[in-house]
Amino acid sequence: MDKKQLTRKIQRISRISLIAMVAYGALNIFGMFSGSEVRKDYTLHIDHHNILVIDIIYLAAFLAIFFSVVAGFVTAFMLLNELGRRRTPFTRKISNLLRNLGAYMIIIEIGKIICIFIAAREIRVDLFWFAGLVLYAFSLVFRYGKDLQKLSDETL
Amino acid sequence: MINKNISIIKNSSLVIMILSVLGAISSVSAGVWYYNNTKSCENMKNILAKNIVSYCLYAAILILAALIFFRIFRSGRPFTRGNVWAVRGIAGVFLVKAMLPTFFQLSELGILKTGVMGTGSIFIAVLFLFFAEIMRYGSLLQTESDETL
Repeated sequence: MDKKQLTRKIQRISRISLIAMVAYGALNIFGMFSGSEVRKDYTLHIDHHNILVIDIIYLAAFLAIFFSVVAGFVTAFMLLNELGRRRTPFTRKISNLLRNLGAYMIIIEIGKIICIFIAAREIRVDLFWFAGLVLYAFSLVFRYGKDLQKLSDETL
Repeated sequence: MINKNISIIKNSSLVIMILSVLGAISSVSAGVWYYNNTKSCENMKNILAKNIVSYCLYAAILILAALIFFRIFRSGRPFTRGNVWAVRGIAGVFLVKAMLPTFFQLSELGILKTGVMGTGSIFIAVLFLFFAEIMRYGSLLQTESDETL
């Protein structure tokens, strides 16, 4: 398979992934509002007359998760859109979007650990932080790819 | 510029490789611990088996990731045929992970709920396949660059 065919394939897959991502997001939002079970052990009851530092930390972590999820979703959307439009996947913008996505994933993981620890007094670590680090490494790889692409363009 | 990027890639690969190995070891130990502490629970056998297999699959994903980053650390070249296949392997493991709930919990939860549970892993598997294609494109560029120099 030559470069042009592969580029077209990448663009096609990114468009399909974009649609799948929207469907996946919609499915999750539907799941959130359709009477799914709320875990009582992860909810925190805040006394409005006596707000403690720990409540503020909990709220800050919760807001950090919320904004990171929204920003991550928007970044992933922009990333797939960019991949579907560009002639090459290796550009500075795509590399930066990947790095940002990695950062959001790490923030989500840290926020989640803080929230669960405060609400349920247990530490739960998922693979999100690792995925964030891998995305960061991939952003560096994409930067290297950008240099290769530049070399290839200059040669032709 | 390329040489500077290669040294950054090598350093970050080393860090992620070490983290992957540590993660794989802890996943395997968590699986073993789970097995030893819960084998007596007869009534939750399906859920326990699913969790143990999940830990094993996590370990497999992390070992494959460690392999990719070890190769990148050793050669400084991210775009190789071997790495493309390893990324596809990770996608394959995620697909297996997506099917896990269907295998183990179909009788308890029904087809609709088990189907929805696995969608996240399917989505991640597709993303990894997508990355594999991008890496394949990168390997073409790498070959072109090597032939030119």
